[in-house]
Amino acid sequence: MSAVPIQMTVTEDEDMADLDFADFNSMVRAHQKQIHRLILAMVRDPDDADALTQDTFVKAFEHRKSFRKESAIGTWLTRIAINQVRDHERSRRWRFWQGLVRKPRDSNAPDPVEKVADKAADPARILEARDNTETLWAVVANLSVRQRAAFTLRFVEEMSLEAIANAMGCEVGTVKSHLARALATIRREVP
Amino acid sequence: MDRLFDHDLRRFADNVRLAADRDDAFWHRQREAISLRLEPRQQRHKTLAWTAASAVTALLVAGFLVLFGPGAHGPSVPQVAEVDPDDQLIAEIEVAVAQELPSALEPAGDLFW
Repeated sequence: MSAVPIQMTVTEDEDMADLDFADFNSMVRAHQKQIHRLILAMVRDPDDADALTQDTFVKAFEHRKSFRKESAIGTWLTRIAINQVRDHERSRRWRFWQGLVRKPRDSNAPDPVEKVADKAADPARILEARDNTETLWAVVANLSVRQRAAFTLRFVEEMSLEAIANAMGCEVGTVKSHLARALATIRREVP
Repeated sequence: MDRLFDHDLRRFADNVRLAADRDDAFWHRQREAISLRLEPRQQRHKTLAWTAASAVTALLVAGFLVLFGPGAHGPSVPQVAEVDPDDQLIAEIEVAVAQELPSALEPAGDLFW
């Protein structure tokens, strides 16, 4: 069975209900990196992030008729992705197996912190930066899904508060509240 | 937000972006995987559409046959041969005339013969 080739470009103005399979593939191409990045920031595990990104687009295709033009496709997909992460974490079975089968990070893989760090910086600072980033990852992973989503959309995706509120389906005030709580937790936990 | 904390957040964001950075082959594989997962749904959708279309067509044909087919003018009633009452009366008279005695007097006829 072969995958359907990508043939067309989808614009934000197109009606999702009329999207055929090829159009949808083109939409996946346009948004998959952003959705994958968001999910990876929220779940941290690359395999889970890949699977949940796929789930997000499969869900989007199944529910494409429910898409309303009041929001952009990217915003709609972001909302689906956040819900996918929430459902994923609600799964008791996943929690159980997570503890048993979580793979340790590949020790041969390049450390992203080192890649980000200034090559000329002194090793002690790189070490400290790595520690802080590692701690940040861990603290963010323990935030509630909504706090994590707000935090990631704000600081990784650099979205406006209004856009975050739209993506999360809540008021701007609620987003501010999630962000304030997330930042307070991070400040408390990260040295 | 103090400068150091801001710096940590930026570093975290850069770290996430780097961790999410993949080559084109990865994105291509991911699109293929999504397509493969959607294909059975598409197939099922088509099958359902065909089934629905066939059912509607069958219903339309059945409806057409009911409305305009050979039995369209009501249910067929077995035909009963109509008998003319006059003919029936004549037949009865002929039977009566052919008898030597009216059937009502037959017992009395035994007395004379």
